[in-house]
Amino acid sequence: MANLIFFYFAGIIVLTATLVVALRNPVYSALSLLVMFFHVAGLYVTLHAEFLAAIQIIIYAGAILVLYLFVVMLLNLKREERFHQQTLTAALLGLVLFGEAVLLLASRPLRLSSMSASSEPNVASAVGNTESIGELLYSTYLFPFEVASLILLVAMIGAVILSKKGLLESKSS
Amino acid sequence: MGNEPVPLNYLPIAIFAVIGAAFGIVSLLAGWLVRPHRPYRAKLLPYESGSPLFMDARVQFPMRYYIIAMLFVIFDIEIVFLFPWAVVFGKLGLLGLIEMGVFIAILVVGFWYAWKKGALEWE
Amino acid sequence: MTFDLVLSGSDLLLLAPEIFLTVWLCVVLAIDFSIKNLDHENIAYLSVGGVIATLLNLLWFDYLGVTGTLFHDMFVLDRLAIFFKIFVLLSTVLVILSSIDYVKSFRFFRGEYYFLVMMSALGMMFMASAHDLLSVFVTLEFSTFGFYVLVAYLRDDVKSNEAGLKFFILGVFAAGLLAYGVSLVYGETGTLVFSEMAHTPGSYGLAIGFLMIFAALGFKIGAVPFHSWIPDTYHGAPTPVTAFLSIAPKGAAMAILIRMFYVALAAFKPTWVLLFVVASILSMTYGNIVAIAQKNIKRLLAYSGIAQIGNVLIGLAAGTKRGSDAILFYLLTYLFANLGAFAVVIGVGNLIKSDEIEDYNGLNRRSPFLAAAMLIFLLSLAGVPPLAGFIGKLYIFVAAIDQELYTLLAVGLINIIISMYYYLVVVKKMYINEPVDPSPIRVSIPIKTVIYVGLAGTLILGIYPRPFIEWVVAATLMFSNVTDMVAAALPHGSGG
Repeated sequence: MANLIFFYFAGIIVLTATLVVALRNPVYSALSLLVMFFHVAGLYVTLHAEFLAAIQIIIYAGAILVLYLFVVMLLNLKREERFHQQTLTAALLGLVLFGEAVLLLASRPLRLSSMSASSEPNVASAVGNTESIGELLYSTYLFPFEVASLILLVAMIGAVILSKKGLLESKSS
Repeated sequence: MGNEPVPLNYLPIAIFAVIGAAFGIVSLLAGWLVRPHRPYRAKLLPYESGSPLFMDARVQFPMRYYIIAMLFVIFDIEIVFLFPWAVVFGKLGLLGLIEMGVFIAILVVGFWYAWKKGALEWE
Repeated sequence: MTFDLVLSGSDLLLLAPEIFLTVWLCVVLAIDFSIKNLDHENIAYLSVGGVIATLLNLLWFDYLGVTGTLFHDMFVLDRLAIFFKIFVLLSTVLVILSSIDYVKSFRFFRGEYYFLVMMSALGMMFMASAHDLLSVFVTLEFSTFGFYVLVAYLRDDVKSNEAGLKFFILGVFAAGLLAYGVSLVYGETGTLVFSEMAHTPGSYGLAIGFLMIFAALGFKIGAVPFHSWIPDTYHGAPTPVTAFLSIAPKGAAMAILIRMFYVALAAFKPTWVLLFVVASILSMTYGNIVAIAQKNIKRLLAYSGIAQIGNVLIGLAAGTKRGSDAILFYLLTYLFANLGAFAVVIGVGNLIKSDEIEDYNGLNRRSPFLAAAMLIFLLSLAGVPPLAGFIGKLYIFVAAIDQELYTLLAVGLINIIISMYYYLVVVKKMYINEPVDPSPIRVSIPIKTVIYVGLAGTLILGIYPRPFIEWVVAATLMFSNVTDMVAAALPHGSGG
């Protein structure tokens, strides 16, 4: 049963992720991405990472995808013009990554049951997923957390600089 | 919540999702099976309250949508950090308040900047 | 899991330079957007003041010997971190000073430019202290974000947009590789902190994970084969940003590379030495050979930078304490010569609005000061005695001889001869060719200051390098047992 659920989510993720790059209409690509985000969230639930699943839907499906769609509409792409020169590079890169995956899997016995059930769900489920994340994030991982706010600040100001038509300056000067 | 491979208390959500998807698929499929197939041009056009079609639905969005969406994403991420913080706030105490205060203060600088530069105005 | 975080005042003291700079740059931004019609030069000098104050703070720390770790070893302040922080801040000061004239040509968002430069500098200061893979990822992204915006700053300029786009797409790809590599390493070792990884057995997962992390850091330092973004990005970006990009991120990423390979992977030294030998040979040879064909001075310096990073990687290929000393010293010599050369390019470019090497014809007639300065910087980059670059190269080669890396040494020596050619072509154009337009070029005071600092650094490091060598030797004192660690771990630690 657990394997079945894992392969359902994994299969849909691979399929929709392929569709994202294969579909010619960028809006369809974005919708395919939406389906993928939901299935990734499903995979997180099976791994007992409920908080991550909720975040996946709130941030990726809720905010980032909207941003993607806005950008698609902004560029007014009807159908994507494609460049096919990079097929060889892509194939080589894919081959390398595939080889790595095979190496990784070959270097240890494959246990599917351990893939769908996290090896240490007890820690998380004892106190609740969100709570344990909170405790770790605001003690051990405080440093990356505070740096994250600086990243958001740069992103915010960068977005204004790169997209705002300096209208206010021209008014004032 | 136990140690089962898939948390069972998410089963209602799964059932709900399946019913939701099935409702859409089944009703479209049923309509397609039952209705007669005699298309002509006017029938294939999008329905706009009976008036003739005057433009494509895919118009080019102005740039300001991008800034709004970008700011939305950033504040969405900020909210995400607030959830686990609120859950464990009792344990964190004063230090937790300071931690989050610094985080929010840094973002407020950016918000203030965007406000001053008129990124939030619709003009 | 219980909540355990103790932050005392003395802990926060370790973060004092970063906290000060954060507050300062927020204040600078607030001043910029709240005071109407404020001249951007005031913002520039305000920024320089803040960065210099942080720099002095760090020098004081270095003098007192303040060290320590914070947040469960995620953030370390040791002398290596202090060295790289000073390195980053010194280049920031010089870049801000050389930007002042350039920023005048921006139509909008002049004040924010300095804010973003300081933001990137802050990110690189954090990088110098990152001691685990999560902080490596977060701080690396933080410093790169500022650069994404800075590279594309000239919004009306097609080249700058192209540069920004290429940098962004490849940078995000590198970030993806980094995240994937970090997850693999975490899966294999169960820890993110470098010092805790030191005793893990080798496996394919670990090897692939670290290869990916190396690729992402190789992208940052611009080593072949991860260099493809460099020429176009350097060419299209605003010239002061190119100058900043060509030195500060390389230093910060080298800090992480040294920490990662010397602390976390010391046991696998025989394996990774090969990686650096190959990357070093490729970078030196490719950078120098392609540089010969360049017509644009920014592209020439871009390829020369690829070659220089190949030289720096020799130090890592040696993998000894002396290797890390040599890296630090080499980067210091590169900082002065490279930023000095870029200051000349900015000074010339501001006036003649061109970066083509053809337009440097007869620079000696138009401005003997700029031509002489450029001559010294280029000779230092080539490694001519008695300039700083010579001592740097010598130090690196001695580290290679210690480890009997004679192939690497031979390739390095041949490359010095190749590089001499294209540097001297520029010199010939400046001194022998006739100028098309003989009107004199006037240099503004801030750029003159940068050039003087560059000249002083290049000459002092070349003629009296002793105190600086003592400084870098002290900075890497913790690696003095790195070879013992290899010897201790070899019997059961080979492979991977």
